[in-house]
Amino acid sequence: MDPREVRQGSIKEVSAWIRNGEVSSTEIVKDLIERTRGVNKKINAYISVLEEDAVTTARRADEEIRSGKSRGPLHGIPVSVKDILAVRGSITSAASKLLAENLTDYDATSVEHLRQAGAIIIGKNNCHEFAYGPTAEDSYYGPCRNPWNPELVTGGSSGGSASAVAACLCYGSLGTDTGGSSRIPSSYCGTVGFKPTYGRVSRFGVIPLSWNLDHVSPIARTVEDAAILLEAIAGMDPRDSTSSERPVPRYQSALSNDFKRMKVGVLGKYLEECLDQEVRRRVETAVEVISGLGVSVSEISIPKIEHSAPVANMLIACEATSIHEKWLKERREDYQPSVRTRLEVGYFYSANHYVKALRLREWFRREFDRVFKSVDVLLSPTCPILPFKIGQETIDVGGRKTDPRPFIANFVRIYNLLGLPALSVPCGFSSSGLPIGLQIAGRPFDEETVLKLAYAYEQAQPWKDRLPNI
Amino acid sequence: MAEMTPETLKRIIKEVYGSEIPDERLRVISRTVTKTLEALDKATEVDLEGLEPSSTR
Repeated sequence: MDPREVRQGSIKEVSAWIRNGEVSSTEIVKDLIERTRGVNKKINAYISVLEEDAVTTARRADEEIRSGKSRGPLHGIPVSVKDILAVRGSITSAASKLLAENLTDYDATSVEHLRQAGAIIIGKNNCHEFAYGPTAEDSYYGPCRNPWNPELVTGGSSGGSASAVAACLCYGSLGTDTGGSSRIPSSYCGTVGFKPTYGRVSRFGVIPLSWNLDHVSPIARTVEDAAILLEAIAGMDPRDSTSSERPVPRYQSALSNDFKRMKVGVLGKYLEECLDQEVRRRVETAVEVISGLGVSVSEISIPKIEHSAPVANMLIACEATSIHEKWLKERREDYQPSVRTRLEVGYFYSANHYVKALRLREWFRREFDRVFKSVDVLLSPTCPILPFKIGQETIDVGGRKTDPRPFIANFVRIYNLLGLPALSVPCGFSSSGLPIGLQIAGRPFDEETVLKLAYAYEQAQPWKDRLPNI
Repeated sequence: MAEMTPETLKRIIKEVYGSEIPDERLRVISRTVTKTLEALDKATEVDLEGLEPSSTR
């Protein structure tokens, strides 16, 4: 088969090709490793490529599949993992000098589940240091670069995961999402990022940033691929005290056309607060397309929602500072300067502020419970602005120069604060050729409805077939 | 009270951090903390009476 066609295939397609003997997992892994050697110099998506282990595992997968022991759609499929998840036998650096020699001898639960499903872990992705930043610019290993234009940020923190998937260096990736970290880079790189409900996927083996808001999140090129990855990694884990005992549905079966009675809410406030009018127009068009699918669409207003991101920021800051306290005292010079500053911020909130933020979380939870009595999903832009240049200090907003970084995560953090499932799916491109993401969020543990609408929208649009030319 | 002045920050940082932070970084921290506390103040204009801190669901 043409290697380019194989690289660009979906997990489901490639899985069928491997099973039918049209291509082997070993051939795919070797091709992707070769391609990564060249492309990674341009986009810096990988910190390490697990070449030897990947080829050995691929050979084993080929033998198993040939002997009729298929483990499902991920068997023999190369995927990558953000470098804050433990992968046995690899360095897990969190993109930091502090952990540059941190050889891990165990797998994170989600990685263990991927291996059980037969996936090949091909490498560890670059990210914002300790996952603490929305751009993936600040890594000990250099900035992640956007495959649509390597001068631009990927968004973060799981920037290397999204760019590796978009650039066809792997078929999917495990990122994490504490304040938008899988959805922001998915919006900026043109991939699907799906943060499930808190407790749906084990956090065991993830270097923590915020115990209350951390989530493991699949990133893929299509909604169906994201569903396949989520199905593999979801489930109860006794090693994570917040892990849910709820049974894991067959997410792939949710991707049907049975959505006609779905009620869709649009968060008007988030549309109003879009700083980039191209983003706003694209998302409004996406809402029209979704309306045309036969669902009912209404505008939804949630009081004080514009203050939800700072509430989440405060919780993250307090918990991150607590997690990093020892290193901040002993090795503070080893942090990236901007990450160190973010961590130092957490010293200046009081216990009263922290508790107030938790009470506000409960208040927002009740508001969202109320809203989800009248709608099944909520739509908004994923990010209010387009990707900007790495290191760019300001953008122009209505004639005023301002730092873009504080705005990036404004529409995504509420779903970390409340632990609700939220997905970013491509909804078009800017006039400059940059991808734009639509965010779809749902009720707790109702990943199926989110996937169903995302899939229906994706099928109605051509965006998933557009890939960066890199 | 949503203001966190550089002087207050300096005092806190010496107490809890055991080191000084250069003025330039302190200004960044001061801005961030002040903005967040202002947002928290605005958010808590809602009635929190009877609401306990939420636990993870």
